[in-house]
Amino acid sequence: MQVADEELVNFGFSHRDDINPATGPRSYWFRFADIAHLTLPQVQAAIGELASAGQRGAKFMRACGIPLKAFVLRPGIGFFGLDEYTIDVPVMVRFSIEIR
Amino acid sequence: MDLGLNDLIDGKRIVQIDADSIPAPPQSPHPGDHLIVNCHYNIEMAKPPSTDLYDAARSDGLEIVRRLAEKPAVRKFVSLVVRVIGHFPDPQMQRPARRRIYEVSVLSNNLPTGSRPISRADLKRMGAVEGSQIDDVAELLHQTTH
Repeated sequence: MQVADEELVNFGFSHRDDINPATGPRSYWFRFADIAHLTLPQVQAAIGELASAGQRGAKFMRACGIPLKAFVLRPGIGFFGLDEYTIDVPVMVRFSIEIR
Repeated sequence: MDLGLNDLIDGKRIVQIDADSIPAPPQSPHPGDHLIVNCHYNIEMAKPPSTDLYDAARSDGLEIVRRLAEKPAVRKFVSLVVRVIGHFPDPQMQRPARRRIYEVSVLSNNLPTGSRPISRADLKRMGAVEGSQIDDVAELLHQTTH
């Protein structure tokens, strides 16, 4: 299984077939190329531990199964500049992978 | 990373402050390591009106910037990002939603000197960028209380 640079990913506690957030309708996603150079703790710090995106203690990365154009791009604020992609409907997951 | 902010954690408003050095995304116009500080509010703070919550978060965020600006070690980073994150419960959801109530980003070269509180004029001089998910916060507060 491979993740392309342009694919969206997010992080959580468990394997999922779909993301239907338990914290509200919205889920947050990130371009793989933007976070591929980070460790998992760095990803969580960069995201700010938003629920439905990068929970503290997350062990799984989920690759999004729907096209990027279905998401709203929210450009990163300030000089760090990590873009976010949000969606307010359930998202099919292409695959989940455990990470260390 | 201990940056001497622990005395701000009073358990009533602020329950946790984390600081991490994070390399910028590959295409960033500001490559290098950035210092990101995530300050978490107590879930009890999730009460309307959202404007009061925003004002409190902005005040705390700028106090953190002021304190960190006094530390030479902070100036080695490309920029400083301080976020105040709220936790918003909804009875119909399993976990509280989390949103950034306030966020400020400053290039380290532009951090203020001196120990006085940071004003709007200071922020403009520093070229600071402020942001918020306040629209989401207002919506979540509305759901929590209705």
